Amino acid sequence: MNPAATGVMCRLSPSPTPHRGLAAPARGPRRWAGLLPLVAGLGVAGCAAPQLGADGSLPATVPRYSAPPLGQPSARLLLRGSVPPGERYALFRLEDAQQCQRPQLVTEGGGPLPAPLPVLVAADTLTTLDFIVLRPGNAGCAVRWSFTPKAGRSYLVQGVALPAGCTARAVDVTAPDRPVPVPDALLRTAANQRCLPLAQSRPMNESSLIQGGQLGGEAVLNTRATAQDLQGLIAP
Amino acid sequence: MKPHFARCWLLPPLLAALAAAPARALGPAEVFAQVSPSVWRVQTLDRDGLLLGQGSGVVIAPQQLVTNCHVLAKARRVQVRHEGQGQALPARLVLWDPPRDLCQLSVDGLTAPAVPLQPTPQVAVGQPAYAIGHPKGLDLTMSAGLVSSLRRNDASQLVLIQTSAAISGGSSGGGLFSDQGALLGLTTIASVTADAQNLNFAIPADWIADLPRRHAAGQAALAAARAGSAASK
Repeated sequence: MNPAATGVMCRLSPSPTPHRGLAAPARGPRRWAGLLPLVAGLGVAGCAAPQLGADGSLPATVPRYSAPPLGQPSARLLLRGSVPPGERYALFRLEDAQQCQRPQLVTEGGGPLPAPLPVLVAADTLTTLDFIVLRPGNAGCAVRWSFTPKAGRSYLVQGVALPAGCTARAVDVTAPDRPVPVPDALLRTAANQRCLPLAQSRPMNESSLIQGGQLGGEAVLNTRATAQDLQGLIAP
Repeated sequence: MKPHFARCWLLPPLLAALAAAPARALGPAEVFAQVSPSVWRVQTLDRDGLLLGQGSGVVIAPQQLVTNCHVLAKARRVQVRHEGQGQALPARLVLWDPPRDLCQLSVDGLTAPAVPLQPTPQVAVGQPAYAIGHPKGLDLTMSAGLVSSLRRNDASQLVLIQTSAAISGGSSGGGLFSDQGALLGLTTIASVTADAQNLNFAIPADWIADLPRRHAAGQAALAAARAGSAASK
């Protein structure tokens, strides 16, 4: 599987890049977020986590997500997480997908809760999701991204709590034994920015280099790579 | 006479057997001595001549060196240098294939020998592999490992050679070599995470041989697109 993004605890600095290209920039690292199926790449998340109650539960006042009416084109959304005892994880859908506003709790897991059940999301509609690690009495950690689900497909959001943050990835698991990155997923969080405009968001699956791809029938490493960054060296 | 005849009769199959036998594997020191003159540090400079970044590159033909395109990103100038060589040599980008992260530089005055390319179908999981590059600016660092796996895309086409030979930042564009000193690929991606070790990747050498064709095809497509765009205005 391919990674999606790493979030960080809101009050901490970004977590280290798990994988990267190997050029050594003189000014700040070039980061190719998450190049392996094993872990996630770099992302930076803002504080979107609601405070947990004393028993670790989410407040009842948190708005709940409602699945689209039956018969409407939809995709299946699954959530899996791994968090330490005492912590929980949750998936929120932002009702205003463009502006990242009005979070609705889709599902949650961790602690004594059973594995979250799949939910349906409307197909062909821009969808913005937050994977959030909930830590009692502490800042949470969130990874936020947007994509447009396709009807009939299944998407897995998989997150992991890290000591200094959290990671999450979004993969298309319509074929469960061959998970693939969600091609149009855009990471909406960056350092100190909780809701990057879509035009400024970077593709999540630029991190899927080790799976490569195909262009014109030929194998390539990155289907989206262009010569844009080489213009300074290309003779006119 | 009879014994002499027997020896002549045995000679052709003996020679054939010798020709078919794999060449003796070189030791790590021999590999390094053979190929390290061909592994150069690639430095990129910005508009003001300040160092922008650096990686590695491998000489694959006279005055021609290949590296990863991401090493060259956003650069305005590029130069190469080698341990013990006082002055950097200016380089020109002559071929590029960003989807394969493969770029070729032309360097006037570069006298380093070219390394042979190992045809990718001959690469086998488990064979020894040696990475040589300039990680973290440490000139000509060598590490040893194996070809760990061959990573393929959904169409089962080879995309990356996975190796356990250690590589680090600055190794991009460096060489992954066989125990014959042939170039298996260019070291491109490393895993640097707490729960993964020795998961490193090189783009295959076959892509280097393919670079001129793909570059030309890319340029032709670009020219056609421009012509179409101009005609529609």
